[in-house]
Formats: sequence, C-alpha cells, structure tokens
Amino acid sequence: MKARLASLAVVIGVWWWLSLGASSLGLPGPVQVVDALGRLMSSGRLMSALSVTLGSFAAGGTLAIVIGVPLGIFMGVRRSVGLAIDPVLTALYVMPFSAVIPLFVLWFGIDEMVRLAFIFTFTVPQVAIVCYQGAKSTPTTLVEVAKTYLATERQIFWKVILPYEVPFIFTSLRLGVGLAIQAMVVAELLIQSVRGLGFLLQFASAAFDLATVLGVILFIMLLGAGAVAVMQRIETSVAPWREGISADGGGSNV
Amino acid sequence: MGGLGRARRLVRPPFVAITLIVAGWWVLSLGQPRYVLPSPPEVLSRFWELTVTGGELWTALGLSMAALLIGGALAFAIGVPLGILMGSNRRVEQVAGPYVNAFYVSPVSALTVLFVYAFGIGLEPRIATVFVFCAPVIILTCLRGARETPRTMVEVARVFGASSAQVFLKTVVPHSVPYIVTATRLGLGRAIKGTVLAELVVSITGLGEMLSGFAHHFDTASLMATIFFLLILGQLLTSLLERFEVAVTPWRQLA
Repeated sequence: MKARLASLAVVIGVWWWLSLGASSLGLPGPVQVVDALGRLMSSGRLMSALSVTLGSFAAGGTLAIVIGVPLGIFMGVRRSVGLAIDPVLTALYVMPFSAVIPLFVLWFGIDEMVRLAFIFTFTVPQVAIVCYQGAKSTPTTLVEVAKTYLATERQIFWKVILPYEVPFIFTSLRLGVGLAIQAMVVAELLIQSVRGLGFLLQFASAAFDLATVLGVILFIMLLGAGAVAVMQRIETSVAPWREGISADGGGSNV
Repeated sequence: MGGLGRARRLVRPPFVAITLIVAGWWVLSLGQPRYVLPSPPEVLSRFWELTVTGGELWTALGLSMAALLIGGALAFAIGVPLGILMGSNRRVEQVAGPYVNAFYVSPVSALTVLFVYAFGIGLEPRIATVFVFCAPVIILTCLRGARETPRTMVEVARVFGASSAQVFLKTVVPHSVPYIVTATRLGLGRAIKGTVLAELVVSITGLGEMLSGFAHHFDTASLMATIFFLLILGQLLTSLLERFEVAVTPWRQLA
C-alpha cells in the first residue's frame, strides 16, 4: 500500500513538473485538470452528458445480459446448439468493433438505437461464451450422482447445473460490464452525437481546451476501471473460491 | 471410421448455423434496397473484386501495417521484459501493477483524442493507439508466466548455488516463454482492433479509410466485404498463432 501511494505521488509529481517546465507543450497540470473537471461538474454539463451516454450503456448492457446468460447456459446444456453457435460468437468476439460502426450507422441511424445495438452486439458474445463454458464444465460426477438418485432432467438443471453456473454468471457480468463500457466509448468517439461524453471530448478538443480533454478522459477511464473493480468485488464475495481463476481476463477487448 | 464420424459431428453444427445465418440474411435482403442490405452473392462478388481482381483491400492493409507493426513491436519490446520483471519482483509489481491493470480494464480508446492532440494526425498517434491497446495484455500475460514459475524449480537452482541472476535467467525466463507466445497472440488481436479504431478516429487511412469511404458512398456491399475481410484476417492470424502455440508447447493447455 505504501509503495502504491508513493508511486502515485511520483506520477502526479512528474506530471506537475512536466506541466511547469515544458509549457511549450501546453500540458496542463493536475490542478488545472481537476479544476476543469470541477467546472464541468458544477455547471451540470458532465452529468447531463454522462446520463445520455449511460442510458444507452444501461439499455444495451442489460439486454446483452438478459439474452446472453440464458443463451450461454442453453448452449452448454444442449451441446449441438453450443457447437453450432460457438464459432459465430467467437468470430464476433475477435472482430474489431469499430469496423462495423459505419454499417450500423447505415442500419440504425445516429440516435440512441445505434448505440444500443452496438453495445449489445459486442457484449453478448463475451457474456454467452463465459456462461457456455460454465455450463459445459459442470462435473459429470455431479450429474451422474443426481441421475443415480433418479433426478429428472429438470431437477438436474435446477439443482446441479444452475448452482454450478452461478459464479460463471458473475464472471460474465464483470467481463460484460467492462466490454460494454469499451463499446460505449468507441460509439461515443465514432458516432457524432450532440449530447454524450464523446461530444464533450470533441468540443473541448476543438476549442484547444486540453485541461478539459484530459479531465474527461481521466473521468471516463476511472469510471470504466471503477465499474470493473466493483463487479470484481461482487464476484469475489459471491464465489471466493474462484478468486484465482477469475482474476485474469479483465474484459478489455475493443 | 470412428475418427471420421467424430470429425463430422464436430464440423456439422457450425456449418448448420452459418447456413442458417446466410439463408436468413438472403431472405431479409430480398425486401430491402441494396444500400441497406445487399444479398450474400453481391457481397461475395465485391469481396472477390476487392481482394483478387482489384486487390484494393491488400493495398489498404499494407497502409495499415506500419502502425500495427511498429506499435505492436514497441508494446512487445517493452511489455515482455516489464511483465517478467513484475512477475519476479514483488516491489515492481506493487508499484506498476495498478497502472497496468487500470489501463487493461479502462476504455483506452478515449485516449485517441489525446494522441491527436499530442502527435497530430500522422503515423505517431496511430502507433500510440496500437501501443496502449496491446501493451497491457502483453504485460499481464508475461507477469503470470514469471509469477507462476514453480517454487521447486527456483529452490533447486538455489540449492545448486545459482546466483539470483542465474535463477532469473535459467528458471524464470524459460518458464515464461510459452506465456510470451500467448501474449503475442492476445496482443496481436488487440493490435488489429487498435489499428482499425485509430484509422477511423485519428487519421483516415488504410482499412479505416476503405470502411468510411464505402459508408459515405452507401456502397454497403463493399462495406460488408471489408468487414468480412477483417473478420477472416483476425480469425486466421489468431488460429495460426494458436497452432504455433500448441506446436511450441504441446504440454500446455491453451490459456
């Protein structure tokens, strides 16, 4: 903890020093950036932009979870469905997101709809793949014991597969949230909106207001990292025994 | 015979799914104007023209390559040693870890705006974008490789009087090699994503220019052909490196 605080102090110190010494670069110091961010907040512009941006994030992300989790579990239970859909999901997962933005704009316009569709399309594969892997890896011994005790298919699903799946669902939620935020930012950058965070960034950048640009970027990145950290906490408290397994794969995959 | 049967079972379901998707796409495209949804044969013929008869996509890919290769090589050159160092030295990990993790999980695409500010719209901001896209995953994968070096190996080396430099070079580094291969594969995937994003946000060139140009002209068939090109490219490179990974380290399960 001490080493971390020290390194943070060094980073901020170097930044400050750079902003003082290299004024030709026009790099604003930490104080100016915090000040700019504070002004954006007190004027309400940051919050209104954020609420616009988060609206599509929440809608697209929720839809991705509502469809992705059952889809993944179904794929794991019905193997042939899993084998059929898995390559399609993997292809979407490997795909560079930003490439489909022009196509999505043609299809969905430049309103909320396109953001929702974009965030949904790129969050679903991640969520479904993790849930699929969870359901697929249910130990056969558990299933066989249940069968030996004459459990019906339905009972096996509700009492064996689903409980085993729970930690995977939380992992998929964490990765999904991370990915949805990434997709949200890409959509903000590439689709000309009039009110979201992306507009705030582009507006400040066009006005050569570097302090605001840096402030908004820091804000967005901290928001993303913070959301994933919160999800990680929840995940660890739900399934502490899986900590070592789920620690990697943060979910940044734009 | 059994092997063939198994192969057929494995191959069939994806084939069915893709057939269904293409069929559904075809049916949907019948009721739509061509600029909204072209039919599969139209896209296929544009794909053929752009890759074989005309070859514009390869030219565009060549233009994209510079940023991808330089940014990726920089990330590799810095990420691999840093990751191994972090994995073998707790102090370094404590200091640098939080930043690497923060970059890994946060939406780094927001930084592109800053790069344009700092470097203009030439090659440099694209290199920087590719770098921030793939460095974190390379560092974290190599970190895992170094950290998971079995204690027994390190202790045996110590018992035989190895200095800490020898322990590092002869146990930690060799143990990290397969992880470096994995890091390259994961990094490459991210590098492609960073390249395309940079070409759309930062400076319009290469494959990004193709994409936005086709969209501006409502040439949806070419747009979709370009997207499929990227899709196939990503899949091909990833599976090639996966093959390579298995060939180099057959004893290891893919991460």
